[in-house]
Amino acid sequence: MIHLLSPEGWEILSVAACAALACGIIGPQLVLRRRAMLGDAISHGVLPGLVLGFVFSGSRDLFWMMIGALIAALLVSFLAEWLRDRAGLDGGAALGVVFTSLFAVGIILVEIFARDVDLDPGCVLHGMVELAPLDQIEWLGRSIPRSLVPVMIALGLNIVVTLLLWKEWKICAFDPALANATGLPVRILEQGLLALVAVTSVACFEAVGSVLVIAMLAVPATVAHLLCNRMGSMVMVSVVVGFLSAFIGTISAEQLDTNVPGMMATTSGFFLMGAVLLAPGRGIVPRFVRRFRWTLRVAMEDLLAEAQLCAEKSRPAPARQFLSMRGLATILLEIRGFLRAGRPRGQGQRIAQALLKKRGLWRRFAAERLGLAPDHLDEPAHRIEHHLDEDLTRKIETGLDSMRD
Amino acid sequence: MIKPAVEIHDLTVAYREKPVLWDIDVVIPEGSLCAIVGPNGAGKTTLLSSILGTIKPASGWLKIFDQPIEESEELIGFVPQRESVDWDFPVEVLDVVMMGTYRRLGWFRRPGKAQHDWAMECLEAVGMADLHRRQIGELSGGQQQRVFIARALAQDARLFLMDEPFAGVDAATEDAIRHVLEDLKRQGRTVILVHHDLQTIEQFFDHVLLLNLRLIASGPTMETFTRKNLLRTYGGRLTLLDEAAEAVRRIRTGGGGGGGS
Amino acid sequence: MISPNTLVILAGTTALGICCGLVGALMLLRRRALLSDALAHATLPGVCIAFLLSGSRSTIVLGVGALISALIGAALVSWLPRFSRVRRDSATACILGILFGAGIALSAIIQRSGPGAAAAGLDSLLLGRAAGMLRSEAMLLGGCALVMSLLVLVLRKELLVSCFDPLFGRCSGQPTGALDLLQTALLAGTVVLALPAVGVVLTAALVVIPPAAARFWTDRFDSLLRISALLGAVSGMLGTAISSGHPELPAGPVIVLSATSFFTLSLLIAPKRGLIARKLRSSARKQQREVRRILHALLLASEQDLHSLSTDQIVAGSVSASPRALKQAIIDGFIERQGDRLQLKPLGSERARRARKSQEIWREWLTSEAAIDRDLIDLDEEDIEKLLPLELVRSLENSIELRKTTT
Repeated sequence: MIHLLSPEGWEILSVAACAALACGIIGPQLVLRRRAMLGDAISHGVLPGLVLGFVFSGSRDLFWMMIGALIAALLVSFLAEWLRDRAGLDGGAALGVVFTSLFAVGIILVEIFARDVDLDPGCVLHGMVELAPLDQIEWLGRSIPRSLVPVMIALGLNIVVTLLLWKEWKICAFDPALANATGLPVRILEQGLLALVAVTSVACFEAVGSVLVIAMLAVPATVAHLLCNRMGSMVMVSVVVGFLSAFIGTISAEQLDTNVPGMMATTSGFFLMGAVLLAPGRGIVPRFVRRFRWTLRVAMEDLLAEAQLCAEKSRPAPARQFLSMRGLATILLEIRGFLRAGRPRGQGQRIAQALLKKRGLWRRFAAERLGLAPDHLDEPAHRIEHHLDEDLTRKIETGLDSMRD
Repeated sequence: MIKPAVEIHDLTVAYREKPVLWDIDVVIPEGSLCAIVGPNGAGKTTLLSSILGTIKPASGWLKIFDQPIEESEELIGFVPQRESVDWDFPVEVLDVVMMGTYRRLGWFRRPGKAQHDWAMECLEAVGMADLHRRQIGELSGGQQQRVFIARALAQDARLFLMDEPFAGVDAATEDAIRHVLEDLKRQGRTVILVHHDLQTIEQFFDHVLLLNLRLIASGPTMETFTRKNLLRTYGGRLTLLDEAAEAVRRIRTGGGGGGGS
Repeated sequence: MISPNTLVILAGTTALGICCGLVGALMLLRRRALLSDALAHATLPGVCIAFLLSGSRSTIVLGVGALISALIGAALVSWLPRFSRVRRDSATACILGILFGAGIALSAIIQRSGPGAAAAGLDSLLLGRAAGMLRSEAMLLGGCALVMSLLVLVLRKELLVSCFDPLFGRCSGQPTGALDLLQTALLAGTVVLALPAVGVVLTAALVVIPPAAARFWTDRFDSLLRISALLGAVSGMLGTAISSGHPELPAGPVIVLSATSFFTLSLLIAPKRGLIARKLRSSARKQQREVRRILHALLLASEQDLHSLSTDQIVAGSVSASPRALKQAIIDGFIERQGDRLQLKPLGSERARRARKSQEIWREWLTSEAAIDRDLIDLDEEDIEKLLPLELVRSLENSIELRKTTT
């Protein structure tokens, strides 16, 4: 068994993974509501709240910093909404104005109050999860990292609220108008969501840093959005991707001797790239492959049909091409034994005949029933014969027959 | 022999691998006032976009004033549907209309008095000259429509395309638009517009195009706008054609295969 | 009095404010305000890689790295929604988080391998170090401000069309792709220039806040650009001035907060779009409505042969008009006070009649054309006269007459 992580590494992983899970549960709600940048706004905007909490409590007591941060986070969302609705400012700009101003205030507060203490701004941005094992507390007789506590609380809260409000949040996300109409207290539900995002960001601040919360809220949820069609699966995929990002991120950070949250974000980036490229059905690569296979299939069928016609009319076989789809089709057909010496054989003959029959049927249908002009029938857009299955072919046949009566 | 303004041959346009326009073959003569008519989803806006050149066909070709669409240097005045505009944008009525003069003005040149006066003339033509300093969001629906028509006029194009210009406008705007269209016709320009009000077709348009995925009929209004054709456009269901279109879409988006033996 | 060093910083930050204001206005109009934040964060990996590859901490090398990184980030943000189901805001957030995270990881590697000098560099990247601005940097910023102003001046109409109606631009033969690229490059360039001065997050502030403030002052494209540049410049100046007097405060945040104060000011006092102006307008209209109610009550009374009403009836009764509205009505010459009774003057009577007529027309239109319940809408006659075209008013008047004669 490969030694994956040092003992401290496992403790770091526990904190990082819980943070990723907490964000992964709530992230899809933001992505579905097109509010992915809210994580960015809250992560920056909490700074003054954190500092004031620290100042107020006189120590790095997490509780007061949390309260301060929560207030700041709620202030961010409230002010931004107010600016958007009452002052007519564009939504993104409203958010931008509020959180950057608050961040500036926070920086100044840091300079004034917390200069000589450990609260340096760099840590605000990327957290100190690597130090988690050094700060342990007692819990149920075991020693756990202190920074695990708020993260677990956030995780628990997110799980409970998500389960409770599942149906309501689903309607609000997909159809706010319907939600309103059915009497749901949409405003309260949305504020509740914002509060939860605030709590999660603040709780994960120490674990992954306020800025990397952005990545954990946005990226796993976006990956899930690419892969899933239902909210349930979205949340599950988001959680899994978050966890894997944390897992792989922690291991690679230890191996490369670098920063854990940074590697978590980078890993999630690879997941995103993978999803964009390879998502079944929607990904870039599957789409390309599908199109290629379709074009190849059409080329093969056409080639067989043409070869069949030549065979029936005792004409020489069609000339062999090399560097084209046709050339590739020829090779593949010969490998499969459908084509030999330019004439269709066996299965290939059957395919060719079926295609020719369908082509004839369709041309008759198009000409007689749809009134397609004769010179149009050979355009690629009208070569429907490749798309016709058994059922449809039979229908066309009966349709044409009935016309004759 | 009247030259064709727009010549379309066997146009087929697909959206997400499902045909939206199929085998459109039509000639629209220059100087005509032509209405495109059909039910929702018939492909009317798609046809306009194809003529405009913003949508590439899956097969077939188009010619504008006898030039292939890719090489067509012709200015086409286009009046979009109202929903597609950002009404909150800080731009005034006159600014919007002046946009029509930019292309002829060229790069790096500032619009001068000539452009200003020409834009005001176009605003006069739609009856909006006294509102030229209004921000566009402060206009009523009909007034907004007229501003964009004025912009198209400012382009001084030979061909005008309009997407439902009469939809949801007040009586004054209706009148203004009608006057504009009559003027354009008098000047020998070609106007193609998507129209939904069947009652007004006969009195107003000299050419009509009935569309429902395929071209049902086209030609002078007298001969084309018949009850039989209207039934075929709005009433008939070409089930087998729909099924084939569905089959195409299903297969192309990964439903696997049909066909084979 | 003012040290030459401070002058340098002043010039630099003012120029920076102009650049940010100009490019920020374009971004605001395209609804891409937060892209600046994403690009600012996206510069980090570029800086780190440039450092790792070249070993030099020269501003030019790091700047080029930052620029390339920002451009890649911008490309990804516009590429993702086009080729997949990812939406624009998700793409922006993802690219921001991923690239910045990668940057953090790389910078940690740098820090571990080298002594504290690299760390100091990173800190200044995150927070800016305007105080250390060199003359050459200030001159570079000045040059860029000049270039950008010229570009905006020369390409004004192309930029307007590109922001407002890109489809129209494409149909008019504009190279929309090139223009988009230009604007993105300008944003990336501005962000890279701003980084040494104000740091990552506050760069976004300078690009977002001045244009948002400027928006309250104008409804024209040109003015928006001008005012936005002006506000950016003044924020830079003011922030630097204040911060130079208080060396313990870093210049970056102070500049941003100057911008924020201008924003708040604009929000409140801008004529027409500002909040105070709006409030004044709406209370003025409310007062007008109360005056009309007074006149209406007096008109009704006079038609029932009651030629005056007591003040109490007006203020406390069903009219419930405020004493201020009463005073206004007297000042306007609509009514006159005789002892404790109020009487309608000819001007007032005419006004009341006109208002009543418009209301009738409006309600008639609503019930006959729009099928809306009578009492639901309450509009001022100025609105009515503006909204309904003349012929419509006449035909509605006719049907009112018709109904009156037939009932």
